[in-house]
Amino acid sequence: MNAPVRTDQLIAVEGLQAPTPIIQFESVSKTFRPRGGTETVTALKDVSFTVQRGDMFGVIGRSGAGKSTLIRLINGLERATAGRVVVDGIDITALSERDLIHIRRKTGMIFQHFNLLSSRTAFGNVALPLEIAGRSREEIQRRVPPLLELVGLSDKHDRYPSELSGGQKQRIGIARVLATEPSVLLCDEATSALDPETTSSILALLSDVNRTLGVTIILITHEIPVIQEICNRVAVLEAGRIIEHGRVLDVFLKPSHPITENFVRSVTGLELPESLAARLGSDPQSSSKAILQVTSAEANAGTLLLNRLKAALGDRLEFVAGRTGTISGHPFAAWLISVPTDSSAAALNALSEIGQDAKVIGYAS
Amino acid sequence: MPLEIAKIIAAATVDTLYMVAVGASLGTLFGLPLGVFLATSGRGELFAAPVVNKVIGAIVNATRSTPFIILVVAIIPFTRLVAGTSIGTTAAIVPLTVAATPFIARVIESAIREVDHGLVEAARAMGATPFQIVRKVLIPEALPAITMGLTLSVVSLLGYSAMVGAVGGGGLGDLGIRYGYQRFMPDVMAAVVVVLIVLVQGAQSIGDRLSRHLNKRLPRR
Repeated sequence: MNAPVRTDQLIAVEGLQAPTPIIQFESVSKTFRPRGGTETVTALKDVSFTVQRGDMFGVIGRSGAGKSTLIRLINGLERATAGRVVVDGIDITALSERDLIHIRRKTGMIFQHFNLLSSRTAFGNVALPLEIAGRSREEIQRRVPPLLELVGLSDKHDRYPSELSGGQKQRIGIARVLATEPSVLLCDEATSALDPETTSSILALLSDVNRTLGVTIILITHEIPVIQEICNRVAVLEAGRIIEHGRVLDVFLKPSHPITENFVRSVTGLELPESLAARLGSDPQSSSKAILQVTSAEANAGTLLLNRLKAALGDRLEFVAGRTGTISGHPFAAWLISVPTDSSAAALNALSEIGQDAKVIGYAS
Repeated sequence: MPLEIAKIIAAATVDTLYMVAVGASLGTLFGLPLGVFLATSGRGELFAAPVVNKVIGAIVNATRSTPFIILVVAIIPFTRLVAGTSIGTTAAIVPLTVAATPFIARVIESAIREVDHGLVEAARAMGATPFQIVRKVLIPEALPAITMGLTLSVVSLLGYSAMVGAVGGGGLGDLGIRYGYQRFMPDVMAAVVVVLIVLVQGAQSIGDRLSRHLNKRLPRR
């Protein structure tokens, strides 16, 4: 009965490990009554989604979509008006402010404007959550230096925030949040105040924290590249509702909502040149060209599509717009191509034979 | 100026410093918690108690709107109760403290309200209790502004202390009135004014330096 387990089986098992939920939103709504007002404002309406342990979960939406409210419901800084928010098996909507304190010590938060204490040095700021958790002076002395080293700021331990750059401040913010070894890290527009280069380095650090420390990260942002670079799952929030959610790759390559399409267009490049868009029609009879949208998430997506299309169409193929690149570490290709109307069926066939998605989005003459 | 007069001025200066120092210290002792409470007990704040906040606010305003000279006379029974007498330098500390407390409370309230709300949110997100937020975030972050406010209070108290002569409080103001005004000794009056100017300048520059030292919001030069 006790047959030795082969290593490849172990790996397979690990790879297929059933995802365990760490955060669940169940029909959560949140309304505010502005001070002095009688009408209520709905920030979130009937929001349901699940974040699995180890996820790098992004929530994207325009300003005012309800992102800040959503992330603050996870650590109880805001309380839901209806529905349940379950964090690590505990329904936090039922907790008192006093009990929430324990949840908050397990869920760290980093902020757009860093929110470091100006009166404390880098060391002092990282020490703060440890002091709050009642750790001893010796433990603080022992635990802070490795954290500063982790974020690459060992040499800045006695510097005040006013003496640090934005990126360095956010690194201190990250060291501070990791001090209490949280299982969940909430990022509130953590890179929105940073320049693109610094953003990349902070995202790399967050990604590292997610992979090496196994911390589940939920981040809210209005910047689509943030989702593209580091998230594995995404939810799109619009006017207080989640209009779409799923794997980043799926949502980006096959958005089902026009708002999502707008968001991902800058990543996929699936946007017709204006002159062509103006001429685009739905009637194949009077048009000489069909415009096809082709997407692939294969390892060698670009080459695969190119070879197949060349083989099927030869030089009757014209590249209109689109991009190849990576989305959350996966290669992708998303193209708009133009083929003679009478060859469009052949092109679709050729692509479906190799299991790649394609559709005609319109015709032009 | 005769040596005797100089001695009287020196003694009056000591009296003034004594009254102001003790009055300001006691005023801070009572005003600090009061100011923290006023700043954190509004609707939806850390220690939300809007009704108590309004009541205390009204009392503070009432005390502050009473002219000091009237306050001194009005609370004579209370002064006698606390100090055992209503006459003298030590007795004068009672009305000074009563006047300083609401002043300092407001000063501290406004300093604490200036603290970036994001820091309070960050501390809450770390699981800080309201008291930890006050002790580890609000007061340390407001300290440069509190220092400036306390300096302002000390300067005001120097002015108030000149009025306690009315109840035999002694000090520089009393000296100025009795010798300079009533005995027609303009040189004493001038000397008193000069000493007061020096004291105010000194208090202000110490306060400024301290506040600048505590303020880490500007990079070190």
